[in-house]
Amino acid sequence: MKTHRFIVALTLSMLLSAIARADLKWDQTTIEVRTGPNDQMAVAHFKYQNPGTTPVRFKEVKPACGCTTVQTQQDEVPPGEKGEIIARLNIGDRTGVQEKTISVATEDPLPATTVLTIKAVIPVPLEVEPTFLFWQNGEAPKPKTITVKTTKDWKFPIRALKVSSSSWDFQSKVEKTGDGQFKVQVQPSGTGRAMAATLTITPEDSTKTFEAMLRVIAPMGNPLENASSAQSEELLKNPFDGKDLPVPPPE
Amino acid sequence: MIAGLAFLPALGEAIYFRDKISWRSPIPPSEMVTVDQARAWRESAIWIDARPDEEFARDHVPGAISLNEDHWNTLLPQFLATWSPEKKVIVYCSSLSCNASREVARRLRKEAQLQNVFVLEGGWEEWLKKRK
Repeated sequence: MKTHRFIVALTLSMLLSAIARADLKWDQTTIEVRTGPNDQMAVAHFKYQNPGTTPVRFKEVKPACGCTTVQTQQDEVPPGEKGEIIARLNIGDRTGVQEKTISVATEDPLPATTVLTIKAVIPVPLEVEPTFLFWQNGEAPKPKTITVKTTKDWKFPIRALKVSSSSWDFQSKVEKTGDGQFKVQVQPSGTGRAMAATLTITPEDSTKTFEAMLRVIAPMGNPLENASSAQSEELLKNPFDGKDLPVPPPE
Repeated sequence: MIAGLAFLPALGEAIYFRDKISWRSPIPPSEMVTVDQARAWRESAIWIDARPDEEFARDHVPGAISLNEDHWNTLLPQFLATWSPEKKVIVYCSSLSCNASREVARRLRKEAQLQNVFVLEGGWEEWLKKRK
């Protein structure tokens, strides 16, 4: 009988403590943010309230990625009070759907941690695939293809693409294959030595540019192959950067 | 029995939500590598640090190249200039909960169509533990 009463009392106290425990109630733990083409940050406001009878103290609010910063309004939330945590995701060169999480730990055992998610939808106006073409040393210098397609984020039709290479070592040819779809054929002049270039793709009537990297991979022992990243950058530097390519001399 | 019933809702949530946390979404084993496995590859590996610039500047795996999504367009050419097809690419970010390395690895596979791209299990934190 005594054991029976003890078990009932223990269970009731656990249930009561579960009801009375301090716990934040979140409006949303996942927020989707659609960014514009010129936005640099995706910002989400995670609103909460303390419906309990005791204060809730934030123990730790930690983003999983260094690309996300958080701002809390208060260290402790009194009973009945509301507040918000603001999360800012740096867009940088990110594209597509980006999900970043923030762990919020409060001094409350059940639940101890809430995971907030900021889901940024970053427009991708043009799909360029692949963004890197390479030929191995000695490989036949056959043309390889890059496909370019507009997406729903590109608001007006593209009739033509302007494609230019930063080096005469790579030639390109554009073919329209459908509405907003193009094939860019790229061919190196040879594959006997290391070469590198940037292919710049610009839709007609637009100032937006997209790039693909081109390379003929050196045999082992070649300076480009073994260069540090700084040396490689020098080797890749485009002497015509920002200027028109010179006309080749007549043969 | 009553005590057991009181735990049922919590047990249900633990089972239902176990795969819902995005940073715990599974990566195929073929795309993951441990620190020990990566070290065994020696010179045939290129290490990529997917963390923000400040974290890379503070400390990084010796010889690692910085490639993050903050400055993807400027950093990618530098990486591609040193890559070759026989190399294994190991991408890491800060820890198990960080998914920046997965994103960088995904973009290298999809956009640059590179093969042999792996994510380091446990990231920089795990590398530091094994360094000691």
